[in-house]
This record gives sequence, C-alpha cells and structure tokens, in this order.
Amino acid sequence: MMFLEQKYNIKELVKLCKAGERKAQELLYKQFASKMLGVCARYATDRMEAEDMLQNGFIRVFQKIGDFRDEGSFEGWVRRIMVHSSIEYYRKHHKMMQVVELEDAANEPSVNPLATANLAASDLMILIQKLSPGYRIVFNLYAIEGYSHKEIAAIVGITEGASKSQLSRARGVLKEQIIKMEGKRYGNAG
Amino acid sequence: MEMQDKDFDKLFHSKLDDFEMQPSAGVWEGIDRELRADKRRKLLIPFLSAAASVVVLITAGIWFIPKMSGVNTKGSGKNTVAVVTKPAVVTAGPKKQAIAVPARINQMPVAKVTPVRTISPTEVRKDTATPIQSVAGTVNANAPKRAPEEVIAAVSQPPQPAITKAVVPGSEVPLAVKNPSDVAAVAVAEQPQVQLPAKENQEPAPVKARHKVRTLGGLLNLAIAKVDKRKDKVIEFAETDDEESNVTAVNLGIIKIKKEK
Repeated sequence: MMFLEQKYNIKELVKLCKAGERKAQELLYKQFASKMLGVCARYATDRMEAEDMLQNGFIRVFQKIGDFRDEGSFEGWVRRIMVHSSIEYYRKHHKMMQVVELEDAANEPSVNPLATANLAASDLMILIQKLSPGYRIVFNLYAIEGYSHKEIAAIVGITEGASKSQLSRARGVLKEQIIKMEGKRYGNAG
Repeated sequence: MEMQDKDFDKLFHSKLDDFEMQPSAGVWEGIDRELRADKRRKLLIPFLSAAASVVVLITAGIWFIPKMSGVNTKGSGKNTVAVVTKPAVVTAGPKKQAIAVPARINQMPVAKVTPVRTISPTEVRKDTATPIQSVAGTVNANAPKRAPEEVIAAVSQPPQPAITKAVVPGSEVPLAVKNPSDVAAVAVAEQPQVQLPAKENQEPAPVKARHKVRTLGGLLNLAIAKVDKRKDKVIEFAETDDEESNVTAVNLGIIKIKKEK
C-alpha cells in the first residue's frame, strides 16, 4: 500500500479526485486519514466521535475538491475542512455551552503521575478531550491551529471577549490536570 | 504570565499538531457509501426533471386547448379537420355501397366497377374503369388527404367544366366524366358522395382543398394520419393559412377534446 501511495503525488491524486475517480479518492483518503483523525480527535470526546467527524470531513473534502486551487497547500486545505467539520459536529450534536467542568472533579486523586518531559502526546490528548466542548474548541483553535481571537469569534460564532475568557479558563483547567499528573513539580514552576 | 501561556500552548502544539491515529476501516466505507449515494442522486436529477417537464407540458396542453377554441374563427379550419378524418372513418354517408369504402379500400374499385359494367357500353366501361382505379390507387397509397381532393374534382366536373384544368391527376378523369353516359356519370358521382360529408358536396371548393396540404398544420395532420388510423387522431391541427398552426383536437384515449365550430 505504501508503494501504491508513493506512485502518485498529491497533485495527481487531487486531479483524479476532481474527476470523481473512486480509486484516487481512496488513495487520497489513506494518505491523510490518520493525520486528520489526529486533528479531529482534539475536538472530540472519544474515538467514536473523532471518526464521525473524520468521515463527515472527508465527504465534504471530496464534494468540494473541485473548489480547491493548486496555489495553497492541499493538506492545509483538508485540515481546515476537518476543523470546520468538527466544530459543525458539535453544533449538531452538542450544546456548545454545556458545562461539564473538570474543575468539579479537581479533588479526585490522579492515578498516573508523570514527569513533564515525559508527558506523552496521548496524555495531552486525553486532557483536551476531557475539556468541555466550548473550552476545547477555543483552545484547539488558538493554541494548536493558530487562529486569532477575531478569527475564532467568527468561526465559532461568539464574541472575541468570550473567546479570550474561554481560552484562559481552558488553560487553567489543563494546568490543574497536568499538575495532578506530574505531581508538585510543574505546579511550582508555573 | 503571558510568556508562560505561550510556552504552555507551545507544549500542546508541539506534541499534538502532528498527532496521528489510525482510523478504523468503517470510516472509509462510510465515506465511500455516501459519495456513491451522492453520485446517484446527481444522476437522477436530470432524469427526474425531464420527466417532470413532460408532465408539465402535457398538463399545460390539456389545460389550454379548450381556451384556444375562440381564436380560430376561420371556417377553413373546420373543413380541414373534416377532410382529414374522412378517409379513415366510415361516415354516415347517404349511399349504401359507398359507406364501406374507407375501411376496406380494396373493395372499392370492385364495387364501383360493377355498376358501370352492367349499364355502360364496352368502350365507356374502359374509360370509366381507368379513373376509378386511379382514385382507388390514391386511396391505397395511404394518402387520405389527396383522395378526397381528387374525388371532389371528379364530382365537380359535370357542373363546371372550367375546373378541369385544376385537376392534377391527368386528362383521364375529366375524360371519363365527359364521355360516358349519364349512368357512368352517376356512378362516379356516387363515389364522392360517399367519401365526402354533406357540407362538402354542397359547396364544392376543390381549389381550397388542395391548398390545405401546403400549410404546416396540414403536413402535420398528414404525418399523424399515417401513424394514427383512428377517427380522432391523437392530435389534429387546423390547416389555416395562418403562420401558426392551432391544435383543433386531441385524443389521448381517455381524454378526447375536439374543437367543433
């Protein structure tokens, strides 16, 4: 399979996908699926939700692939669609203002304390997935996707002020959890 | 504090920006299924819209035809319709043998020839036989439009000799009418009566009849008559000299609309 993927470059695949070639669609999907599931997972509560978002996102990618111009990065384009598809998913399935704060569970003892340096990506992923959707989306968009508050406000449909306050509260929750995970050391440093 | 937030964000960014997870096989299947369904929907749309427009056209046609009846005031339209339908149908014609003519065209020449033979002399018989056969020939040729025309010509022959020039089929017809005795003339005269409605007989207008074929409506009627042998064609047009040809009748089996004027 790797061999097959390497035979096509992305540009060729995109061209074939624009013509509706089924095989090209599958190859393109395989090219980006795991990377994009990594994106969706940050917006999801669990793997199932993430895969739903991924599926919706790719359907939209293939439906709109005719609009893609070769000027920019195709991966960036796909990624933006995944992000929007993930946010859209929450619009449909969740109330954005749902408040299931991790702070409420602040007193629970942490099970697996880890050193900061050893904090694995999967651990951080779990922390993010535990955030409430509103915090999670803003934190993802700002810290990882790199959007400004102005852009976030437009994408999510909230005010810039709400975006800022959601971000700082998200950071607060995350920090608390990390402190718990690694013990007192990180807490002293921060 | 600002700096620390940035570092904090960086920590997440560096670890999660290129985070990868292998999706389960069901995801691609779901995407593929949805894309196929999408394609099918797109293929179906032109088909459905075509079907819909056919329905709309038929509905609109049925709806508007009754309203159009006021438009065509010319008498010729009515005549035309009558002529077109004539050959295919047995009309309530006055004469007995004649009535059978249109349906069984083959019998026509026989029926005609017999009376002529009995009464007229040999030479006359020859003469009369020719024109009758020629008429029969035209009828056989499935040109309902022309058959009545010629018949009209034949009928009008005795009273107005001037029309002789207008007759296309050739010198045989006028000759036949002139030469034979009154009996032969009667035999010929009988034939048209059968073929033509009473009105047509009263006011013979052979020239008019010949013009009709030249209009678009006439052409369409001719073509339709070849396919549709019923009395009321699936659709009939007025054969006026107007630029537009109007629909004068529609017969869709269950729904029959005919403009009577």
